[in-house]
Amino acid sequence: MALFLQRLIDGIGNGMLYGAVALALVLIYRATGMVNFAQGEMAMFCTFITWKLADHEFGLGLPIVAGIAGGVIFGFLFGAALERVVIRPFESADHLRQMIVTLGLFLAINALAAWIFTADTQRLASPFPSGALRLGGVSVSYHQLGVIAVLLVMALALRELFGRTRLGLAIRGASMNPESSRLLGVDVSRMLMIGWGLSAAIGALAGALVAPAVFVSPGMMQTLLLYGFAAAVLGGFDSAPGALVGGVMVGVVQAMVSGYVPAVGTQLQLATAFALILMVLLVRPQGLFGRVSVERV
Amino acid sequence: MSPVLEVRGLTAGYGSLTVLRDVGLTVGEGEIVVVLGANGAGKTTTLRALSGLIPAQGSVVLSGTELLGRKADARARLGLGHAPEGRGTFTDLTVDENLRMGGLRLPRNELPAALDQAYGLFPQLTPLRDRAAGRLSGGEQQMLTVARALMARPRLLLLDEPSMGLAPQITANLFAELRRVNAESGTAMLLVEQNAAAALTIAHHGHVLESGHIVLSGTGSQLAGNPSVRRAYLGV
Repeated sequence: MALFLQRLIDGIGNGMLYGAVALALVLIYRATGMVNFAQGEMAMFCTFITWKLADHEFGLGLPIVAGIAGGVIFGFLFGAALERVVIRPFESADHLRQMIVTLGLFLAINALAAWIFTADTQRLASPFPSGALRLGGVSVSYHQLGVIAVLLVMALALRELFGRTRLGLAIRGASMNPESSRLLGVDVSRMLMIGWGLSAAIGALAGALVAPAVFVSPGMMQTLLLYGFAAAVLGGFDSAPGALVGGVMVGVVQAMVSGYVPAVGTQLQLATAFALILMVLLVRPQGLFGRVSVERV
Repeated sequence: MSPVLEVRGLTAGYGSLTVLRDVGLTVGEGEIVVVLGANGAGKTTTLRALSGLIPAQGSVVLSGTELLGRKADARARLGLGHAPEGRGTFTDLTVDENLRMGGLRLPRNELPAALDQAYGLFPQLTPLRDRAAGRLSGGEQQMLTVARALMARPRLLLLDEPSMGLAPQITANLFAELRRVNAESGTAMLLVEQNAAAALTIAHHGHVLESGHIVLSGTGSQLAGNPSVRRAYLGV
């Protein structure tokens, strides 16, 4: 029983991180109507910035919380700048071409990070105290608890932004019907820029939270991005709370399957993510919390 | 009194295809002006050129400000409203959110009154306020588009075939409401229509557009009495 609970807790902890990546994907999807394959690499790049700000040996040695704040702010500016310089020339192109541009970004940012920073694996400290909370035979690290709390707050903040504020409404409108938005005085290009900025900032936060576990390296986000995709598909690509719930479910399924199905073990873990994506797409393509877009004709 | 809108030598089209040639018209303060024309005459192109959705040459002056060379969203912020034809709604947003999109630039404290006004204008929309706009009927979406454009309190409202897809009785109500809004708030309107009979009942002035040219102009009643208009557009 204790082992089961431990696996459950570990699954939830990992799953929240998948959910954070999924949130970034969902955000850009809601803001721009496209899937950004470079999401993970953008987060990785920002995590290197956090590392540069916080590392005592190779960087400025700032407190880790300041480093994360710096990485998140850099992320917003980085995302906005990428939209302005790389994506905007393709603004009128179809989504397929835009997504291929993000695939190019994936490769470019990955190479750039290795060139500017290092291709070696680096350590990043957790912003939360070390140690763990023990209850019976189950232990939950303060890092896991902190990650869960931070990401819950972020998801609620995003829900408020999109559900209740004018900016959120304008961003949603601009992605849904750019022409009508322009006719109502909305600067659509600026909304896309803000959407990319927000999404990259969330990615930066997710990167900094996952880095203490996976270390900082150019490839650090690639597996996480796949789980993030699984989480986003499961939760519904247009639902922010769905992304987090989807992430937790992917994390728990992964922990249980690799724990209880010996044939899967640790080697085939990633396959569970793909199996989940396929099952969801077959059974409920809009995801658990996604809305089906209906238009009467 | 200087006009709200003064259009001179407006030429526009799509790529190498010129649809409008040298169109000129004015809309005075508080006026309703209608442009009549058959399918393909260039009515929608005229409105799209005015609001900046397609490039154009000539001169378009809104309350003393030249619009050509400005982006569509900047023109809207200068007070140009545009209710596009057909499906211009945000289909995944609710009716209420659609209206709020129209009211994005209103001072916050004026938003509730503007929403009340919009639902007062089209009471049919009130029970649908939480429904996704994509689930409304064509006529309901048409009303929503008009109400949404009015939310922004434009100086001049461009209306693209507001009667399209509406039952005759609803069309009559819509035009009566447009006339009332015009009389109460003084919002100037430029309306393009195929439905000449309904449009001429509320128009102060009218123009007839054929193959991208204005071929006839006059007051609403002059046009309604003109034999060729009666033959071509009123079916009498």
